[in-house]
Amino acid sequence: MKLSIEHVGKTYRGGTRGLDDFSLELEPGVLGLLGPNGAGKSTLMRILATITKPTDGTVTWNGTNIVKSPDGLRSVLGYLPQDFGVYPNLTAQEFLEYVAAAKGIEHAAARRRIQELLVLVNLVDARKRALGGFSGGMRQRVGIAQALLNDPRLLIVDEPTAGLDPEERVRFRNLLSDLSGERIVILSTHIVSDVEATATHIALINRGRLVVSAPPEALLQKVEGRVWEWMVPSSDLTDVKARFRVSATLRRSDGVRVRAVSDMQPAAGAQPASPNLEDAYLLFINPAENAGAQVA
Amino acid sequence: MKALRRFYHLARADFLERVRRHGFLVALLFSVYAGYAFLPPNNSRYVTLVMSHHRGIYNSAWIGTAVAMLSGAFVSLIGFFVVKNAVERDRRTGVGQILATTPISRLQYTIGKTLSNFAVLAAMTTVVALACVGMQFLRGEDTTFNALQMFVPFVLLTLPLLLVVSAVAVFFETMPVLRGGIGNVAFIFMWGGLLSGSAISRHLQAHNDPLGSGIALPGMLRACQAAFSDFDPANASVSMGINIQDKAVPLTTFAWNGIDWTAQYLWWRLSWVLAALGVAAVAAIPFDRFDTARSRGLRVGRRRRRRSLSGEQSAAAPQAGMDAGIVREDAEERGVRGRRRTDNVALTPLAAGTHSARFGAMVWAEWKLIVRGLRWWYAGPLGISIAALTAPLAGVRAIVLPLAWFWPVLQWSKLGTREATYNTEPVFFSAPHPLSRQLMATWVAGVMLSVVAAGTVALRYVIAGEWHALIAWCVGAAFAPSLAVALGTWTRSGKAFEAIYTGLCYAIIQSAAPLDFMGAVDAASFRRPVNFALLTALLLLLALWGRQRRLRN
Repeated sequence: MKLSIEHVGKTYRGGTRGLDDFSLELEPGVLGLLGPNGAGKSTLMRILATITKPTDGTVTWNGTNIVKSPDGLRSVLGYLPQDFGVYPNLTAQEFLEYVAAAKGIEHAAARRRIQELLVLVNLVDARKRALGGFSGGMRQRVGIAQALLNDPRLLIVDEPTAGLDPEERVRFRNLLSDLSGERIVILSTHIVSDVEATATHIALINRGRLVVSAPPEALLQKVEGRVWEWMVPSSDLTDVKARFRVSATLRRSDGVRVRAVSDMQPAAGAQPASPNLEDAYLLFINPAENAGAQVA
Repeated sequence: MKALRRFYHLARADFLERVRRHGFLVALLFSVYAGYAFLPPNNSRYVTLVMSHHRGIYNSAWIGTAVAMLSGAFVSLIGFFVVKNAVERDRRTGVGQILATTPISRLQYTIGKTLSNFAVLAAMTTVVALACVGMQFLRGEDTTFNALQMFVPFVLLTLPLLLVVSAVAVFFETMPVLRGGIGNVAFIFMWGGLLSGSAISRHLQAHNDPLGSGIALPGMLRACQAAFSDFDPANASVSMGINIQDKAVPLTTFAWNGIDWTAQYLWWRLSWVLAALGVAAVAAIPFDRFDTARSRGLRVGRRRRRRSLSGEQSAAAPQAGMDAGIVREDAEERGVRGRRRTDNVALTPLAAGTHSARFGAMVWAEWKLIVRGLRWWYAGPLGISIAALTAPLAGVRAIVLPLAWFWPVLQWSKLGTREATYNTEPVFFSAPHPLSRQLMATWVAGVMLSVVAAGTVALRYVIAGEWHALIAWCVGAAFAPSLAVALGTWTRSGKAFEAIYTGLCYAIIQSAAPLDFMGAVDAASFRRPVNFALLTALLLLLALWGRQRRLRN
């Protein structure tokens, strides 16, 4: 099972570049896709979900070009878009039955699968209510259920935990981890902790280009020894933020405890700290020129 | 002063948002073409403004006044559909939520939107007026250009009417019942009434009507009478519109030097401006200020009352009067508390071979989407069925069938647009075979609706052995949903279908044989069903092409 993205680019009408020479090879596991707003994450996801056609490059699923022959992938694809709607007059069960039919799942298998998924996403009691009355979180859970309907080999989820309460978010993260053994899962999110908890591989994307692709441990290794914490007076905070890649601040009675990424010790009292993915993200995504550290 | 700034910025932002869309360019191109088409040469197969076989010489006065009235008639119809989305767009984009938290009052909002609508329609009219200048020289019957005679009719005849249309569009958008297809269809009937009301103004006595024909036509008729002594204005046929003739009719021309504007005429036109502002003000009353809980609360209340009547209301249900937010929270709560098994749920893997083309299930799902929520709708087909089985055959064909197939216009208009309306495109377009399965299932469900609406008419044809009529019926049953799917797929809105299809049904009831796709006017014709069958196939291909483009943008 392999998904190959080779030199993929997307230019929109008007010349805007959504994606630029993006290459990546994916095997079973969870790929966490991280990047700032407008980085090209959703464009990449829509291309992989066969909705948007790339203007350059090829994407192959087990050797088949998905741009030329999308239906081979579509039958094993689960896609949860960032922004999607439902038919307000259908019930959750009816909507899932409709999507199951669209995905070509046999009647008996679809019914069983829908029941299981409704339990999984906590919508059993609401299954016969019209979707128009659902809250954002409930609707998102319907979206998760529809993405898993066909037991997908490739699961693409774009901001899947948006609108979920903390309990549901943890459950969904666990679900993604459980699913990842036998399929490729691509998870795009702004919530670094979601990626930290589930991803077996991380790709950082910025301005349509792949910045770095590595397992989380390798990314953390790259930032090892570059994360510092120290106390600064509140009045100096603006200056510190301008000079360093600050990943966190914590107000105390005697000033502000600053956490920043820097190649060199930023201040006399600065102590090295254990790195996390947010630090790695800042190191690779933030422009280096204003910061005290240079990207290796 | 503050209020004026708000009007200005509200209208300006909305106007800029619209004029930067491709659709506006299309509307302007239409305007240029209208300026051309409203002034046919003398050997043309159609006429626009004629009195028996006479018309005015194409000088500035005639061109300005005739085109101003014709623009008023046509731009008021097309323009309504162009601008009737100002409030809806704010609702859909969420901008309305932001505006609702500003000090803009409901009245300021509806008047601002009216002015924005008006600016769009006025821009279209300006293009028509400018095209007329070129047309005067192109036709070359009188090349003396008089700017006042050319442009004043546009300002005083067309613009007040368009201001009324702008306000009516806002009113329709703020009234929940008129917001959707019902409003679109209702406006077409209103527009038809407006035109037929204006037609009485062909008499010599001046009067106040929205088109302004009661001001312009009496003078024109008098000038015609002065030029042709055998012309009797009281009994003359006055035609205003695009009237297609069987063959080119040579028209004789006379000179007309424009309207003598009196204080009364100016007051009449001003009265329409005041009426428009009145409608815009009234629109503020039902305007919900983007409070979705207001309408949802009403719906929830109605649903609860129904449940209560049928004894289904559970003790756990929230009390009536609570707002929708609380209802949602309650639903969430029940979702969590009512959890049967949430952790360690094992999903049964789908075995290989559990995938198959389930076209029937797709059709059934599409059918459910069409009929869901139609409680009283079935009363129509039921009554029509009784009429189809009991009325004389000629009446069934000429009246019952057009009515039967007009009834589902609002259901058909959603075909091909639902995915865009409800943003389900990403879900369904990433499923296998979205063209051959999903779009075709939509179309088949639409044909099923044709059968439900007028199946008894077909049965009557079979009983009577009217095989030609039955063939025309079969074509009609496929044509209406094909037109809906094609227009819906390309425009991503039901408005175009609602407008065109209502016009078609109206024309058929008026015995317009060339547009008779259902065999209501002339059932004996064999060629016409064949032509419409070909058109149906073409529309289906267009729909597939449109969806294909959308699929892989």
